[in-house]
Amino acid sequence: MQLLRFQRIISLPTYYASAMKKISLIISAVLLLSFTARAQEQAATGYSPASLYSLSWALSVPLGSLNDFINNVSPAGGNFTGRYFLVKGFAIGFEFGWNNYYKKYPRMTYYADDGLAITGINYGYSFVVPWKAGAYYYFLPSALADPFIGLSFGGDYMEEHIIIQEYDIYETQWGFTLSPELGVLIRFGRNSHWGASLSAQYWFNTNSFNFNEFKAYNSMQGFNFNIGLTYMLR
Amino acid sequence: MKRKMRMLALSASIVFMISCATYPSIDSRLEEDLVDITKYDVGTDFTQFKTFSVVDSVSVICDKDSIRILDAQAAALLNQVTVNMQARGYTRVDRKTGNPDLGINVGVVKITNVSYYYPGWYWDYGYYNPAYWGYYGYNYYYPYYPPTVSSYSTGTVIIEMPDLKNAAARNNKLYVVWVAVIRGLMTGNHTTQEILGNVDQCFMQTPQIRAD
Repeated sequence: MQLLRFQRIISLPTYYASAMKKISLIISAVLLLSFTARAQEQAATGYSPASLYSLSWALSVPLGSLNDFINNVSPAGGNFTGRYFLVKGFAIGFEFGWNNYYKKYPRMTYYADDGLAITGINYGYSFVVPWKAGAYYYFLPSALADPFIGLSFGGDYMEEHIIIQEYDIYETQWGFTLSPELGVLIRFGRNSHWGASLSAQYWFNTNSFNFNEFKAYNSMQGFNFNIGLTYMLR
Repeated sequence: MKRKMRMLALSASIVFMISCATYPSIDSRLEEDLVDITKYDVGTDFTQFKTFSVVDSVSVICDKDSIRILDAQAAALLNQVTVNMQARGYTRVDRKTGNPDLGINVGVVKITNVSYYYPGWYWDYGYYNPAYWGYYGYNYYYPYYPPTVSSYSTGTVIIEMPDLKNAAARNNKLYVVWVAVIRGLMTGNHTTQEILGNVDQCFMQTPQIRAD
């Protein structure tokens, strides 16, 4: 059993290498943590949680069209997740979150087709709210440091705004979203209900928008780093 | 332990504030720039007009009243409107004897503490009555949904262009075929030159205003 686990862990980088080159650093960190955790698990094995809830702060790096529209990292986000273990290590759950992105643009003229034109310093602003269900695998569910992978799928509510003083030109929409996740759950003590959750999450959604100055933005993607507090139930 | 809890609560509230942070508030947005908003009637062919006349003073709309001023700044403002109209091929004529096709009203709003301004509300504040243009018993009328402004609009230049040519055919209505609003005047230090540049911008973003 131990050997099987070991193989799973070392096969992790090769499995994700092509898709997620950018997070190889995190994978190394997770690997390191999991090896440490294995040593700890042998020394002091805690309980395997039956369910857990995490509230996280989410730092988001916009990618794709979202990056073309707003190329600023968003510190303004968060998410909440609940996960329920079906068998040891395997969990299903829900996730919802939010992220605000904005960028200040210099003076620009926006033309509407009803004869309106507005010129001024303006703000590009986007608000993303994912509502997802997911499946997760925890490699060492009873260890102090427990690396996990997950894949969640659901709907993304999204707003795109051009804000000029009190004038707000905007679109709202819903689309599908998919996001793989890689992280680690660190328990504060062998029998503690509390822990910290660190994860990296790539996402993309099917939303698109088309303001006349910002044409055909149809590949919304992002990379989120989540740092959160987790409560585990036995 | 108590101190630890306090630190935790503090950092949690900081993170919460960061996670909800968004673009600057309306107050700072108003301070940082003058914004030019224009709207023209898409159903109007501006080449049918050949002549225009500009009001002889700027109407400054204060709390319940208005005063007409013609200081250096007001004169510069009226002149800039005239220059732009002439550059578009229109001929300036006398208001009373020249029978202008278009009239141009210029006003500055300095009201505070009014929560909402419905379109054209300033007409009741001693703005240029249609009678000024020789149309007694007429009313101004927007043939489109005009730009609205809220209480944040204090310090606003309003330029309106009533269609005098077709007034008789329109049932006592002077159609306002173009309205230009320059906002943010009282919230920052703006020079006359800067305001004149914004008048130019208002015309620039309405290329439809052309005599030929």
